[in-house]
Amino acid sequence: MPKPKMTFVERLYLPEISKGLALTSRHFFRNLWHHSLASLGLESRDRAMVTIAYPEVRRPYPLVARSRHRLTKREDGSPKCVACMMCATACPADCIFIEAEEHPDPAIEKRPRHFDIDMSKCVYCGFCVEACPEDAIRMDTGSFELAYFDRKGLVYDKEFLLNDDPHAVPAHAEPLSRGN
Amino acid sequence: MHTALDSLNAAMSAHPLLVQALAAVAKTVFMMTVVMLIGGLILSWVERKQSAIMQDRIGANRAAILGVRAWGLFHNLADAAKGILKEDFIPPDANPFLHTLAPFLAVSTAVVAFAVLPFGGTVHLWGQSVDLTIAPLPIGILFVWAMMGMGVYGVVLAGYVSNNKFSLLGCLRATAQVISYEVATGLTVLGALLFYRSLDFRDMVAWQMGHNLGQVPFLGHLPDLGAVLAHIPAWGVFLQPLGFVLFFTATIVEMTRIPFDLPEGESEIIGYNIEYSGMKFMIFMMSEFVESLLFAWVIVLVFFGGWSLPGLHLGDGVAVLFGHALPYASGVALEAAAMALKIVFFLWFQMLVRWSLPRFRYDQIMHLGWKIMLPLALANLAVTGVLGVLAR
Amino acid sequence: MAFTVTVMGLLIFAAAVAANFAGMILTSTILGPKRRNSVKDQPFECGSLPVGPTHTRFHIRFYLTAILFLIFDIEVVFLYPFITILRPELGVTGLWIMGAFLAVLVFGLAYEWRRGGMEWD
Repeated sequence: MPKPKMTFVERLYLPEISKGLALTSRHFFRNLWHHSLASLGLESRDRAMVTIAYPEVRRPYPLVARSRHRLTKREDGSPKCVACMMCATACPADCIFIEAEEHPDPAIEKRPRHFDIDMSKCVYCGFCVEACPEDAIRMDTGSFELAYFDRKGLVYDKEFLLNDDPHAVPAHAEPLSRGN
Repeated sequence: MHTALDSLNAAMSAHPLLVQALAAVAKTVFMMTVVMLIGGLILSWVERKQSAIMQDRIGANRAAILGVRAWGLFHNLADAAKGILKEDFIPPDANPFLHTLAPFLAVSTAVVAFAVLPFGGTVHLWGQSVDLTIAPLPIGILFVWAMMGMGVYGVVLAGYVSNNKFSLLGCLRATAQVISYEVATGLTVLGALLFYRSLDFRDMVAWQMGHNLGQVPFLGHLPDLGAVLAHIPAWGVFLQPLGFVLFFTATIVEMTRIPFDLPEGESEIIGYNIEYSGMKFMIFMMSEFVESLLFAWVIVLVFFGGWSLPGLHLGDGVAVLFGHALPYASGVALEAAAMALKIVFFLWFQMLVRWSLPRFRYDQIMHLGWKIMLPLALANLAVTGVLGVLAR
Repeated sequence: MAFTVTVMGLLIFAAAVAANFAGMILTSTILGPKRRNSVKDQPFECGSLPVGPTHTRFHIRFYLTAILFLIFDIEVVFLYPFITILRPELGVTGLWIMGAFLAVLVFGLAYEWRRGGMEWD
C-alpha cells in the first residue's frame, strides 16, 4: 500500500495537532459538564462515560457467548453424557479427562465415572459442544469469573459441572474473594 | 498581651537577619507544601481523572476511607502508603549508595530549582523588604537550567548502576534526548529575554506588566492597530509566539512525558528505572510531575506575564481594576489567583497533550530537535535581534 | 545583606528538600520487607536469562550527540550574557559581532547536517 501523501499544512504538524487537542478537550469539557450535573443528581452518570462499574453492574452477555461448561442431565438427574470421548478428542487444549464405566441401563452403553475439565487449560473454543452427539455438554452458564488461590480450584469435576448454579464454587477450592 | 507583641516587634526590628531567616523558613515551608502537594499528590490524581474524563471513562475511584471515595483522591494516599511499605530492592551487583543517590538527585534538583521562582512581589515586614522568592538570584532562569542539567545525572546514574542492559539503554536514550533539547530550551527562551534584558524572573514579570504591545517596536507603529494594541499587555507569548511554541515543546521533551517519553515508555519500552521499586520508583515518577509544575511555572513567568492581570494595576498601597479603586488586599489576592490559574491551565494543557498525542519515534525526536527546533530557534533569535536593533 | 539573605534562603530550602527526600527513601528502606531470592536478584530481562556483560558498547551516535550538545550548549551560554548585559550597550556593532559568532556555529551545524551527523535512521 503506498504511503498517503501529506499536504503542506499537514506536514506543518501543528494545525493537525491542534485539531486532535480540540477533539480531546471537547470530550473533556463535555464529560466534565455531565459529571458535574450527575454529581448534583440532575442526570445519570451514563452520559459522561461508557464505563460499566463491573462487580456491581454487569454487562448483559450475548446468548451465544461461550462461558464455562456445564453437563446437562437426564430426567432422573444423571448426566446425559455417554463417555464417548468425542469432546476429549476434539479438544485442542487437551483439557477434558473422562473415565468411562458401564451404565446399569442396558440401553445405554457407558457413562462417565469421572468427567474433569481443567479450566486453566481451556481455550473456550466450544469444539467440545460441537462434537457432543448427545447434547450433554454446553457452554451457556454465563460464568467467566474463574479465579482461585491454587490451580486445583480450576479443575472442575463431574459433580460440579452438573451443578445448575452458575456462580457456584467447587467445594475443594478456596475462592479468591475470601476477603469479602 | 500588648507588651509581648511590643517586645516581639522590638526584637524583630533590632535583628533584621532574624526577620529574613524566619521569612526564609516560612517561604520554604510554603514552597515545599506546594511542590509536594501538587507534584506528589494532586498531579497523579489529575493524570488519572483527566485522562478518564477525556476518554469517556470514570477513572480510579475505588480507594475509600470509611466508605468515602472523594472522587478517587485517596488513591494517592494509598499509592504513598504502598510506596513506603514496599520492598526497597537494590540489585546485588549495583552499588547501593549510587543506586539510592540516583532518584534522590533526580527529584531534589528539580525541586531545588523552585528556589528562584517568584510567587509574588515584595512584602514589608518590620521594616524589612522580603522577596516572595526563596532565593532571588539575579541569574534566575540560568539556575533553573543548571538544576535541570543536574537532574540528568540522576537518570544517568540510575541506568548505569542498575546492572541491567535495558536500564543502560534507557538511560542512554534519556540522556541523548534531554541534552539535545536542553540546547533548544535554552535557545528558544532567548528571544523573549531579548525584550526583558534580564535573567531574573521578577524583572521579566515587571517588564511584561510595565509594557503593552503598542510600545513594542514595529507593532506599535502599525497605522490602525497601534491604538488597539496599546490595550494588550506585552506578554512574552504575544512577542514571541514561535518562541513559545518551541519552548513549550522542548519542555515536554525535557520532562520526558508523552509524546516524548522514550526514555521510560510506560508500558512498552523498558526504561532506566526498571531496577527500582517502592518509594525510589515513585520518586522517579514524582520528579516527572515536579518538573511539569516547574515548567508550567516558568512558562507562566516568561511568556504569560506571571501574576499580571490585564486591567489590574497595583500601586503604592492602592489597587486599580479597570479604573475602579479596590482594597489593596483584594488586588493582591487577584494577582495571586491570576498566577495560580495560569499555572493550573498549563498543568491541564500538559496533561491534555500527554493524553492526546501518540509517541514519537526516536529518530523523529532527534530530527525534530536538531534539524527543526534548533534552526528555527536560531532564526527566531536572529530575526528578533535584528528587528530590535533596527527599531532603535 | 541581600546576598546573605539569598544564600540563606537557598541553603534552607535545599536542606529542607534534601531532608524531605532522604527521609522518604529512608522510611521505605526501613519499613519495607526484605525477601530476597536468587530469581529476584537476577537483572530483569523480561524472563530470559541475561547473557554477557551488562556494560557493552553502544552506538557512536550517542557520543556524537553529546559532542554536538557541548558545542551548542556553550554557544547558548555565550548568548545569555550577550543578550542580557551587553546588548543595550553594543547596538549595531554587537549585532555584527554576534552575527559572526552565530554564523560560525550555523556553518558548523550545516556541515554536521550535510555529513549526516544527525541521522538516526
